[in-house]
Amino acid sequence: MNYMRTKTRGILTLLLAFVVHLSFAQEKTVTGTVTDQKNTPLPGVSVVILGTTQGTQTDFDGNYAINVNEGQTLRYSYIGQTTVDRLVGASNTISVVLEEDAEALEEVIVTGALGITREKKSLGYATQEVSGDQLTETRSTNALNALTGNVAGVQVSNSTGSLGGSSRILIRGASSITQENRPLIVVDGIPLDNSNYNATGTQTGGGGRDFGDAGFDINPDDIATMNVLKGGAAAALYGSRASNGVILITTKSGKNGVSEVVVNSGVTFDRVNILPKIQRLYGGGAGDATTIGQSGFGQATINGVTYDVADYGTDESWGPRYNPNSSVLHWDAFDPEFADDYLKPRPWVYPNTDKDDFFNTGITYNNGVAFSQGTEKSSIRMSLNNTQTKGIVPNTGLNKTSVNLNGNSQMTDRLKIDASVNLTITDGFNRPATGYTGEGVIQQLYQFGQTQLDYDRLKNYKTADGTQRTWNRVSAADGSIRYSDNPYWTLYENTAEDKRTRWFGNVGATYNITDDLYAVGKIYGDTYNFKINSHIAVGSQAQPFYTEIDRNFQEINYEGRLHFNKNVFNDKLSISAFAGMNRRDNEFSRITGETSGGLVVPGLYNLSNSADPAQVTEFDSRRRINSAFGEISLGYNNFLYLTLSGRNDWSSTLPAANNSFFYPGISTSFVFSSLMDAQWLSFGKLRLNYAEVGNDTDPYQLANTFAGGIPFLGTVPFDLSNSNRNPNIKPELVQDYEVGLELAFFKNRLSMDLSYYNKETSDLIIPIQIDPATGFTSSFTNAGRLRNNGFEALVNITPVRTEDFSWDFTWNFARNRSELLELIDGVETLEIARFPFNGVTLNAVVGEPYGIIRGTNFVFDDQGNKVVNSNGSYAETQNIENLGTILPDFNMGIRNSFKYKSLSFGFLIDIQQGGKYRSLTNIWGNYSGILEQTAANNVREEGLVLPGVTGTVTYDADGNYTVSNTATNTQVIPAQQAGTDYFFGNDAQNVFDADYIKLREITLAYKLPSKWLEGIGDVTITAFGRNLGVWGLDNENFDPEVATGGSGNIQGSEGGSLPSTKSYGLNVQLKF
Amino acid sequence: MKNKYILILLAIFATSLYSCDDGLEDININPNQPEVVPTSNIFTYATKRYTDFSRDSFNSGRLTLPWLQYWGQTAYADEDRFLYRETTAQNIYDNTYLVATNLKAILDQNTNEDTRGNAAAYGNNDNQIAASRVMLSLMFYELTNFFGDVPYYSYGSENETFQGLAVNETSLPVFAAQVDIYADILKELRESADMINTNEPVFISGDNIFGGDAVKWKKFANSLILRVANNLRAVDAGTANAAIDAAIADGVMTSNDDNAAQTYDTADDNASPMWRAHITRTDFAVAAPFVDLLKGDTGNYGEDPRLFEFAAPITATIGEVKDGTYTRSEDYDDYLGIPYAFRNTNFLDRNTYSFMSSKILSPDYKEVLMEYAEVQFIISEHEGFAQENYENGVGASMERWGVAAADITAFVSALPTANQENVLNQKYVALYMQAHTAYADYRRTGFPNTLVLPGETVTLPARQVAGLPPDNRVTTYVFESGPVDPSLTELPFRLRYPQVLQTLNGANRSAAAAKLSNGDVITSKLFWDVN
Repeated sequence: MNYMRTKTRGILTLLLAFVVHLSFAQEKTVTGTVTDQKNTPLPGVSVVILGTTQGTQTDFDGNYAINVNEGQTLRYSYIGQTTVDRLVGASNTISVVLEEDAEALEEVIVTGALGITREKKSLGYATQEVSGDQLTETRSTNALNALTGNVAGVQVSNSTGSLGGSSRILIRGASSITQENRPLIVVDGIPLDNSNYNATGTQTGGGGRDFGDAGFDINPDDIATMNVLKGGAAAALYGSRASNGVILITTKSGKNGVSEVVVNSGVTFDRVNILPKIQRLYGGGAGDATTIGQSGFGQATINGVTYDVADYGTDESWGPRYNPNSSVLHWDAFDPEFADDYLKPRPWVYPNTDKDDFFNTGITYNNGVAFSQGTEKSSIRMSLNNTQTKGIVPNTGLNKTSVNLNGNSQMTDRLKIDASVNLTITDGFNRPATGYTGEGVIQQLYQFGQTQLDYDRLKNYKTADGTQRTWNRVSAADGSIRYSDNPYWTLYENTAEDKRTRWFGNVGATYNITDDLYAVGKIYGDTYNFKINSHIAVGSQAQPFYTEIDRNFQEINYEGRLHFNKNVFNDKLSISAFAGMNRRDNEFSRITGETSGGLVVPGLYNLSNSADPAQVTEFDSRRRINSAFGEISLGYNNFLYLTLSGRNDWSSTLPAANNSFFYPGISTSFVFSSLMDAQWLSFGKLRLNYAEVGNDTDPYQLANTFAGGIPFLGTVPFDLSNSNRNPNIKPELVQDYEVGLELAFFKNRLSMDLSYYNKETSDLIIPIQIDPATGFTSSFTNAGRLRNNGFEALVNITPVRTEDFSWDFTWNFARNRSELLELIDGVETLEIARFPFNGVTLNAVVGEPYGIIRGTNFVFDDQGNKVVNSNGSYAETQNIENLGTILPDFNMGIRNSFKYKSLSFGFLIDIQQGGKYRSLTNIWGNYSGILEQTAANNVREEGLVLPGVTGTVTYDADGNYTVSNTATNTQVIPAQQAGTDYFFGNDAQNVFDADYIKLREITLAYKLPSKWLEGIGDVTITAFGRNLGVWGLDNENFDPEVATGGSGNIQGSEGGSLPSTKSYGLNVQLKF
Repeated sequence: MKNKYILILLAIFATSLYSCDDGLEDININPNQPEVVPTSNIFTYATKRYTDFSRDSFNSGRLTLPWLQYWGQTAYADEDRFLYRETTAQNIYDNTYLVATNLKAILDQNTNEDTRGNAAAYGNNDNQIAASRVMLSLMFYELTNFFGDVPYYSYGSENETFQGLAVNETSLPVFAAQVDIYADILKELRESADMINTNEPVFISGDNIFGGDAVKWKKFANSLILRVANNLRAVDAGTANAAIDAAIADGVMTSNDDNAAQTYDTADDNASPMWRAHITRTDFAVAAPFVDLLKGDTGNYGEDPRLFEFAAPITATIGEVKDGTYTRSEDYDDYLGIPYAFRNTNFLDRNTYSFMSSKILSPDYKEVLMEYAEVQFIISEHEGFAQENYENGVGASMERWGVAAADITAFVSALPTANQENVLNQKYVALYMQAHTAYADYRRTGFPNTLVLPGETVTLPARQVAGLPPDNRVTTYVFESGPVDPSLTELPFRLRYPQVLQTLNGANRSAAAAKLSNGDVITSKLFWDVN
């Protein structure tokens, strides 16, 4: 399978060879000394050539030396001191005196809504910025995943093993019950679609492939900063989609006076992190669940010889105990063309290569180059990046290539134009199937199967004529497939491919009408084609099949704004205001083709190769939102700020009577440290804001319609949709207030940012689940109120800062509490999703946090003992009960960064406390006798006694119970009964805490001394690791994060997720 | 100059943005799905969808087909021990209403004065209404027989407890009393039969049960009255007899030509539900108690040649059954049933039990809703187990399955005399592949009396014993029901309400559960089950 395109890598190598031969303008060495006001030399002062990343630091005596061109500017900066810029002239010596600056933090400029830069001190809302360098430190191929543990209040979970799989991002909890809860991603003003096209089955663990999120298309190396706007006040200007927060990405651009080439080349290795532990004492076969005794081998007489044979037809591991003295015919002893194995009995022992050996070391190659140049009037940047990943599952891979070009030019004194264009091609090959499906890797390995299988032997998965050889034969005599394909057949014959070709970019112009007034016009475009095809080969257990899904997405935003900025009253009062309009047009289409009744010609994967007529379905959708918005900000004397904003949307998805909705915002900032004269307090600010954000719904939710099916006996069957639509839907409304405190002490050696917020969503647009006896399974309605409130803290400490050594410590913490305050009358629970098997559901329950797992529970007596039935199994409640929420109590991240001369070292610890998930692998791995616990403590020979009490359980008509006559349970039951009870028994036994402590990132970087690299530039070598350690798990067989099957609201179901991975790698960065 | 230019541009931009505001609603017109479609196309969907779910591998294959011991599972026979899946109960419940709401859409389009004219293009309005009411009656009858009280919809009654399919009035429908539902179904069927205009087609196309034949729909309506009324016999003989007499007078099925069956297509996507279940899996075989009855090993009916139509010889592989290529055998020794609910079926040699026949495992197998034989058995029971109707019933069943005329005559003439046991046991044989109906009969009468009951010891045939692994060779086993309810000594009397109703319609479900004899458990008997 030659999916790895080596071509791109070749081109990069050529480019690299080319650029190292570039030489630059005349350089000279400038030296000098940096001191403070008292003439004390300052060690560790950063000296940077402005507009570049080249620079140095002063030594212990405050001296420095740097190679620089005449005409460039040197910037001298040191925490707690004012920053000084000096133009390099004819002189070769520049000495500088830095002054103490108590207001250093006030200088911070951040990018706010609509890309408008603001002084951070003037902002009345919380925002947290992560630099591109920090995001790319550990070379995560998905920039959004790098937010994990880094930003307070942002919860990112992703299943790392699933090859570019989905990430769930929640900012300050879920504000909608069934609608989108993902934040809006904006790249240079372009709202970037982050759709996830995973089937419901993939999300619930029912089975499917995880194709990841469209947000994966951003090249992390192009990111200059990523800014998280958490609250409504910050986000309101982006309209309804921003009600879940905004992730604002600013890409790198060319800098004035600098020509720069940056080359990154790296490699990352992925290893499986946590796998379910399997028993190594008993082999495959059916056991006898009614007895403690062991099962034996079957017999088959072939050519007059009677052999012991394994029970191939049962995909379980309750078979005979391993015994090197027993010899049996294994599954591969029946094909004459494999003469070495044919009718050769082999010992019944645990295999040399087992399930754990099935997984490869994944490898990711990451190569990128970026060119940038800036002049006084214009700048340009172009980058090219390629990432190739070979997955941990055999024969899977992902290849992503992205090109970014952006530039701007000051055409005249008044007119500035800018444009950017990005092309990203994401090529997935055979993303592994997850969940409860015959194609699912985990289902084949850990949910059902036989433990004696040798995975090296399974690799011989077909005969010369192409017939599949599976271990799961119907019988010794009959080699046809009972349930399970050979896993290697699945991976090499039943493959899937996906390709997303995406273009996004913008063009814009800014025109200064007067000195105070300017106009901005912008067009933002985002468009992609996403094609997925997959097939099932002739000879598989399932019917041969080919399907192709073709999706086209387009969003265009047209925007015009008029800005007014003026300072009045001797600059005491600053006014900054704008008004604008936006039109957003979305178009989406999907065409799905499927073969029917099998394939005619083996190996031909085309819809025309369908045995029965192929089926094609089509879906088209359009949406338009027109908006008018405006904002006015007043600042008084640089310490008191007030901002008022408002936006009105007209949405095509709402009924005409309700399609216009307005939402206002107000925020204030008070920099109280300006009024105080306290040496210890470097900065102090109080902020307060309130905002509303309206939200529309999806297209076509207003009228009931009939859907056509596959023509049947000459007639197209039509049926009503299962969801009752509503012509009177109103927009849903988020009301959000926030208070925050920003403090910095001791010349900013200690700083903190604290926030408290309360967010309430009302008139939620919900396809509320109703009794199907109404004729519909759900009905669209405005109902309910959902509240999220929480606390966030971000603390930065610099305990040590000397000439050669510094230590920075960052702690972030977020605790979100959600509560569903009401639904509609008479309905206390709304089902969000149904997990596979046993009626376990994910729900929104009135009075409870969002995302409650519901299912049957253990029966407990008054003392809290589990009650055991008369057959020795745990009793199960008649009613379903709340078994916990999927949302954590809190998340926190602890980052430590150390710098010693050119060496830097850092690590990030990510902690989650609370939250639950349900594991299907736990059910079937116990049911089928694969998991270690099914054979631990000799339970298969001796049986076991479940801890608990026996007793009489009496139920009333409502299914409530009382327990009487309790006595300690002493009933011995067979291990297989205990194992199968994970399926037959209550649901609570398969629900686990999602706590974890992870060593999320560890980095070690070394910048080569410049004397080694005369004339080349900077070379930085970074070694890194991700997810190297995990502790504190409730069930050691699973990483709780793998219960992420998509980026939508369906979470908390482990249904056969791929294991998480730990990664380590190396990256080299060259700068010229 | 330049300023002005820019301002003009902005003004044009602004105007263009808002001049199109009126078009917003047009953008939201669904290009994928229409709001009105021909009623005949809805009817095509409804009848197929009903048998698709009702007769599929879970709702029939892992429920009543094994419980009545027609079939057994070849592995993982948990449902055979009454550990049916929660999703099965929910599936039956949900889908009944979801199909019913489509039938109601047909009723609405044919009733509403605004749409009645358009709907008439697809068939006589009254006839469309009647056929839809008949289908609704059949479906609600099966639903209420599984659960007891359920939310109910009636086209012709104003009863305030009938609150099903009324999403715009309530999302919390009360559960109508089963006794009221029975009465209303009888009324609905009576009115349907009476309103059919036999001179006009029911649907001009898309009717895959009777091809639009109004006469057959009328007979079907009357015949269904027999089924429903007969099930009331033990609790309300007066109502039952009156309804049956009226139905017979109006005309019930008179031959196999009148049988009501959903037709299927030969393409896999539109094939019969059991064919679809067997495209990639082999989970079922014919169960031993049923095979033993047909072989004459149990009961007193002798060797029944329908065995060769119902099942394949043990030598036939599932591939041969699906391809229809196995060699037909008329030797009763070539047939063995799979031991029912044997915990160790996986140990059995796979050539020691019979799969179903190719006749059943075929893509265009017709799912029978009701047949002439059943009508005759009911009339026999109605007449105090009349010999003639009993013989007609057996004969019609054999004819329907393709038994040679001479063999029919021989078997029928050797039948033991009609009495409750013989009539109902033979009716059970005739209801093969219509296990929901047989399940109701079993609960009402206790027949067939040839089933293995929980706690009973079963002796395995020597051929099956010999195929077991030496370490696990047993000659007998005990039929243990699953631990759902250790007190179970015979078949469950009902299904539990879907758990999700505790959430979605809690108060009404609780009220219905409270009216059950033991609460919402499988051992609570329904009102007509008094044997």
